[in-house]
Amino acid sequence: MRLLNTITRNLKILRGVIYFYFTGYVRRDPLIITVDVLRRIAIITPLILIGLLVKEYTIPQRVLLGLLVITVFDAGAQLSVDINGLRVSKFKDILVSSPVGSLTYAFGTAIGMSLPSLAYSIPLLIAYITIYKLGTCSIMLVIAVLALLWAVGILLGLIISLSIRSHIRLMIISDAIYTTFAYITPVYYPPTILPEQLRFLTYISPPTNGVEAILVSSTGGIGMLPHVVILFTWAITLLVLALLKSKWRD
Amino acid sequence: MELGVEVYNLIKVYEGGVKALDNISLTHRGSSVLAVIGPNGAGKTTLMRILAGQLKPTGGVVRVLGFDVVKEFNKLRNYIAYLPQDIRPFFYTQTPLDYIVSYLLMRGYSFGDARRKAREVIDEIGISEYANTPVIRLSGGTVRRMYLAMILAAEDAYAYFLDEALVGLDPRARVIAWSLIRRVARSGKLVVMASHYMDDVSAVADRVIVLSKGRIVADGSVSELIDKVLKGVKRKLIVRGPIDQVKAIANTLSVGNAIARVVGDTVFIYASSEMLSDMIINHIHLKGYNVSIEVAPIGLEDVVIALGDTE
Repeated sequence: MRLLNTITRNLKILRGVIYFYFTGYVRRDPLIITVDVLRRIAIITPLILIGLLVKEYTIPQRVLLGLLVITVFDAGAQLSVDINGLRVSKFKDILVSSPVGSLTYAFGTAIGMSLPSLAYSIPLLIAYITIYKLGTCSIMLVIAVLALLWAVGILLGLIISLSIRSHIRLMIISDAIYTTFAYITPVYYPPTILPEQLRFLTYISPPTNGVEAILVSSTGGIGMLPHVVILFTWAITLLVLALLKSKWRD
Repeated sequence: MELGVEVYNLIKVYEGGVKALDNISLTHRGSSVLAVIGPNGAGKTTLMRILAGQLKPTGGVVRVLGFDVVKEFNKLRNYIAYLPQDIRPFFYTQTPLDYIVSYLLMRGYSFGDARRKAREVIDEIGISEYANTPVIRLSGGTVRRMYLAMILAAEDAYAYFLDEALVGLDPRARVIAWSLIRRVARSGKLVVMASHYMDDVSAVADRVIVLSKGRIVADGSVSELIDKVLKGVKRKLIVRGPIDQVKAIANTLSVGNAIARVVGDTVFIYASSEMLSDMIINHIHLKGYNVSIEVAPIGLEDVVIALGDTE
């Protein structure tokens, strides 16, 4: 009974944290939200066009999937910047001396900060499922991979925010890391077009593994396994680092 | 739950060796307002942050509401609310209503209760016309009022820690804030506030502790402190002028029945009788100093000035 009460109370608090980020997002200037949507469309349009010209329909699938994967993974970039902002504004101090515990806060923030990403990723996921006619099992596998990738992105963002105190430096470095993973490693293009020596390196990248895992998800679990193992390794490593580095109270 | 704070031999040394708190002990119980005052760097914020569980002490034991702030913080945090100094908005597009409702939800309120209470405190603090205005469009003082209202709205808390909470508030807003703070204390809660504004402290505090260089140098009610620190002082003179002349005046008064404290281009003179203060004024005129002299009422700020940087 006591455990149930604790869980209920923490869920209420979690709801508060998510509400805080939700209102923070929806109150943004509509122009900012419009530009954000346009930016995402602007990224995909030339890639789809090039894909259509270069290799018929194989690349567009990858481009759509790449955008979905990056949208989910990118939630961490925003998280790193906003966690630091929370510290700088001292709003974190208010939350420390309140019923909001560190774990509830971390989880609530991760979900709250991902709301914009979720808003973009759900239509993309529906489009992907519809266009490529995924079965129930494949859909479950895709969602599982995206959830794992989301966790890796969030934990990476957390580590970045814990490692860099300067807000400006953090924004620059976070942007550089997420841009590298999104546009330099093979996400929108297949790793097979790279020389073999470089190909090995690209398989370290979480988004690359996310895309590869989803692409082979329709063929069953075995093909996905190496990619899922790499994503798990990322998640566990980052989680351990986060636990070692995080300091809720000074 | 014991309403109060207990501090035993508290020491806080920051990385780099700066000793912010030097073996302080303090016990305070009951629903009331406890104020912490003192010059810059006295250790006020460090003490507030330790009491609010933000900062771990280097040594000593601190108990708030009967809970050890280090070992039992997970229980304690359910019953406290803290407003840090220099707080800024996090989301600039959120409104005061968003902030307060979110905060109350985070404390476990239902949506209905959070909205009702948020509206209530927004009205009380006098910012209802800005309830739905993004904070980016609000003045610094209004944002500060929003945060104060937000913290005091937390009726589930038993101890409130307010660090320089009234900075930037206009005179009317400060009077409203005083009444809110007093009402919270009267409702069976403990309010601990650190402030540089002696008007605020005089208006709300039941007990005042004066910190200087990390130690408690005076402790008591406002009137007790004035009696203790400025014992026998009947008149206060404020003399302003060129620094060398002000210092010269202070030096001539260093012996005798007057206390002289130089702060910048001003010397505060506390005289034990009106006759003595008249003699001092005559002396200053006779010496031909080019200074202005003002006779002023004695207040709590004089306790801090008279104590100076006392060890």
